[in-house]
Amino acid sequence: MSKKTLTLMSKDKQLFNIEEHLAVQSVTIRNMVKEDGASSVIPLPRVDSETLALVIEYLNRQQAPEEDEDYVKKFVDERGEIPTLLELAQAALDLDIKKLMDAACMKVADLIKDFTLEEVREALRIENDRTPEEEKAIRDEFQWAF
Amino acid sequence: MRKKRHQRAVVDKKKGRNWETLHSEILASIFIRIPPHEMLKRVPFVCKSWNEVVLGPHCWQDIDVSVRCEIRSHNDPDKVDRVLEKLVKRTNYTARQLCTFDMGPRGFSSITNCGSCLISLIMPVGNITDDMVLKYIKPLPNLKYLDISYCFHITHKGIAAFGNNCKSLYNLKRCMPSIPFEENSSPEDDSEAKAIADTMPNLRWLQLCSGKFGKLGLFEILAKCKLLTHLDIYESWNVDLNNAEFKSITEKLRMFLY
Repeated sequence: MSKKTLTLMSKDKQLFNIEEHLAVQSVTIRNMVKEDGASSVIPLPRVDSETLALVIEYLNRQQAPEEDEDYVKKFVDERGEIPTLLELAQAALDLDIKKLMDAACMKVADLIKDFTLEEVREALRIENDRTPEEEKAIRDEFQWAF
Repeated sequence: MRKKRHQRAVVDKKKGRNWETLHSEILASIFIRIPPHEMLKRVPFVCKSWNEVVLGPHCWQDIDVSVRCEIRSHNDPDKVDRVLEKLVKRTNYTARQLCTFDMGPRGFSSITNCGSCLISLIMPVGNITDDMVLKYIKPLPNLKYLDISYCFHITHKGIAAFGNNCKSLYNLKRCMPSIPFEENSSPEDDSEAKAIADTMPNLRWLQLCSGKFGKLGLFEILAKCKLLTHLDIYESWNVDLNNAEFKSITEKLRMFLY
């Protein structure tokens, strides 16, 4: 008996095939399959093809359960770019793949925990949207932490 | 001036992505993995939306101020309490886990307000007394893990108060400072063991290192905590078991450290 295959479609309309029993590691997909058998294409309007390819690679892993933790860690370690990791975390959140999301967030936290404020802003391309007075107000708010 | 501040050139050119507005759940999930005292030095300052996430409830359900307590060799309990009060309030009293040293009465009273949300309470070392426990304890029906090691002012009364209010408790840690065998002069005292046996029938894991209880206390626990699988009474010198007794206990439990 051949295994049932599902087709996922990324934001940029690329199609990816994956065996159903692997795809249902995603709680979102599992629920869709339960509801309507998901015979047609499953659209993922917020996940781009680059990220979806990574998610599929992750779902297709063939790891023994006891090695899985290490695999997930290595998987995110190899994608050390913060933007890639954030896309991955977002996709994992949408698809409800908790392990992947936790690992991606852990990696980002590891990467930015020693950054200075400016380095964080630069890495994530965020501009300071506060006045010095507003910054002081926050400093006062969190005074107890310093 | 105002207008300028709203022009945010925050678009990631490669992906056309604005990281500032990442889903708050993801941001919170990242922030909670940075040690809190480090996180608070920078994250709230990055931009407004990040600050909002820090201020929101997602970030604080697991409150761990132990690192902060550790790096200050002398903790002022008042200050620890102020930090705890603020953090717990920030969760809207929905904290799930709390880990702290040197907690005082105000911190304790604010954490017990989390009621059914609280699952794990790790509060070793501190000045909490029996009276404070009795005064501020509230039903914590979902509390599963409690660590009151080195809380010298909590006795069997405080332990019973925890037991009576924490009906789901399945892991208790109550270790005291280690004393060499030759120097052990503390008389046998089964009151704590009795309190545990009488009020914590659902325990699976129990750590009572360097306890003062004797054989009677131990057997009372074993008789009444029928679900117990792991028991650690390392350096509890007042317990003197013969071979048959030791064997009967190791057969009953999955792990027994003596």
